[in-house]
Amino acid sequence: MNLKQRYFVACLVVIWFGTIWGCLVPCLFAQNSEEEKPAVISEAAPNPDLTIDELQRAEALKHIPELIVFLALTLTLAFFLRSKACDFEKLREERFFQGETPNGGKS
Amino acid sequence: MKLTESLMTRREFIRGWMISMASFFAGSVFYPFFRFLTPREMDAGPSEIKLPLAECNLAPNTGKIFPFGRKPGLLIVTEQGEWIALNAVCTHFECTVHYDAVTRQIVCPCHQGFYDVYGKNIKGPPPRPLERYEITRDIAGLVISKPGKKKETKK
Amino acid sequence: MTGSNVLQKLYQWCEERIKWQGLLEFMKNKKVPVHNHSVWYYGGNILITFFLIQVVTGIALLFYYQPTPETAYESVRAIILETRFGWLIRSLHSWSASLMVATAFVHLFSTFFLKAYRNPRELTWMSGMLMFFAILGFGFSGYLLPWNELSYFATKVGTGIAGQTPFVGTYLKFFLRGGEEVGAATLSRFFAFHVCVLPMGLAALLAIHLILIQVHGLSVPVSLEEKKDKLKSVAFFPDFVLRECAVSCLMIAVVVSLSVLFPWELGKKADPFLATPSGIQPEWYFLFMFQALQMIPAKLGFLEGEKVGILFFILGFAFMLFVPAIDRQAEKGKKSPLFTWLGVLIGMFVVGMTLMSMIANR
Repeated sequence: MNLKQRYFVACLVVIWFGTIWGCLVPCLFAQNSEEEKPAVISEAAPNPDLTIDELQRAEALKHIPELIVFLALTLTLAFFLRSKACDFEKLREERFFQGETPNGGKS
Repeated sequence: MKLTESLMTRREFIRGWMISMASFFAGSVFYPFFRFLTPREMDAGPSEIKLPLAECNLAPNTGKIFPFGRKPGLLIVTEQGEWIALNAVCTHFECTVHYDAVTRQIVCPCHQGFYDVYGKNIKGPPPRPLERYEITRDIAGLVISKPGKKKETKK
Repeated sequence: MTGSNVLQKLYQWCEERIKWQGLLEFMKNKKVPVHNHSVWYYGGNILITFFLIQVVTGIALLFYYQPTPETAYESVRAIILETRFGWLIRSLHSWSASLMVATAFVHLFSTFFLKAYRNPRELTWMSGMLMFFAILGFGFSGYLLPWNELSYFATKVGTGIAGQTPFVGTYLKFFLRGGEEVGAATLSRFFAFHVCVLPMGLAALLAIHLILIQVHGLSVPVSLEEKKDKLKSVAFFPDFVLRECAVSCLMIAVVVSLSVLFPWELGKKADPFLATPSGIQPEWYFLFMFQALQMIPAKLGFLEGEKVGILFFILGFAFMLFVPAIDRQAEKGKKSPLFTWLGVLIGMFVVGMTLMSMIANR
């Protein structure tokens, strides 16, 4: 397998895994679905007022896997935004934009 | 490691990942707001209600709106003394209907829809008849229930 | 590429109808100086990020919140427990508020120490100070809205303190409370301030602030003023904007993490006829004022201690608002070490009083 083919296969694997993961994410979010009854405070609970905060904390902790996915997404996006900014700055230093628009030349 | 050739440029690679991450990010931000703003489905409401005797003293050829859970119901006594209970929500655009003693019809004033005394749509835009409820009597008054929830009557 | 053709056609379509060529040329030519203190240039964008989070989450919460004493607490409870992701959106709103105030303090002090208020940026500074007061107003008005124990009594104390303002105190307290006591009238007018008056005011001030920044460009430290034109710079659009977006992503990551790991608590519903619980204190950004007023003796000579304290703070805020006119050295473009030390003293006072209050109440 030559280099182009290896690169192509690697990109396909990344896209395939990314699509699977992207489809899984809504399923993870769907934990909070219609089938679940809303959390109800029992009137017999010893500290009914504090239970709201405890229920909230319990609900929030169930979403830590989604938080990790979201943080991975966001930090990756931040990284690539910064990379794009550095790319533009480098092009400017090389005076690429003087009178021309960039057309994605090989770097 | 310096590659001698490449399928795509670094610029294209960065742009592709940036756009795909941005769209995933936008989706993951939009999704919780969309779910939050979508109201939870309400439960179907009670399957039967009880009307005390004091509220059931209707003269023949009169109708009365009563609450059936969160929705309005219509109780009619015909001239022959027959008791009829119907869902008072018009099947056209959900206005509340009323009984007209003069024409002996049920009228929806919003778009001039007319039903007969048994709730069958006879004139105007309503596409379907009104839902009919079942009536049973007990000592305390009337028990009005959705079809299929009939109780044994006690006389 | 087809994508580029579509974008070019779209650009041409907009240019024929909006005539935005001039604006885009101006944006392309705007530059951001690069020097040792360039990192502080991100402060404004971080504030805008938090403000946008507040607006979006605030509008979402408006769909369910009910501003009456009988239903406010219950509606917030329903948001937390009965809606999907309501707990997250409410926590985002509360955490973003705190982080916005913290960032406002940082942005204020960074521009103060860099003397960015000097000629010709006096109005930029003043619009920024007014926005700072608006942000504190957001915090004060929004704190009451859940109608829980902490917020009810904190508002009672806060409006009581406002009532000690010399000359206008009685009217101010009456106006803020909508009557003699904190009640339904207070809640509805705080709600009006929080969702209508303050957002409109802040948006108007922000527009003025941003326009003035475009007009004057970004300020550089006094020591670099003469070498300003020789400084290395990056283009604002799209280079610096992309960097600002990356920082915004980091801030969003921080606020979402805090919201999930430490959800904002609701506590107990307010009961005006219960005794005030011990340890009642305002939100952290008012603690320095709260602690300072607590430490002043009841009487200072023939003057009431509280009134002297409030006068001190009013003069302090007025000093900060009008510092461009007071600092003559900076106005002339010279270094101003006296005001730098004043800024250090103010910062130490704010931080010291806040820490003292936190430790005393533990």
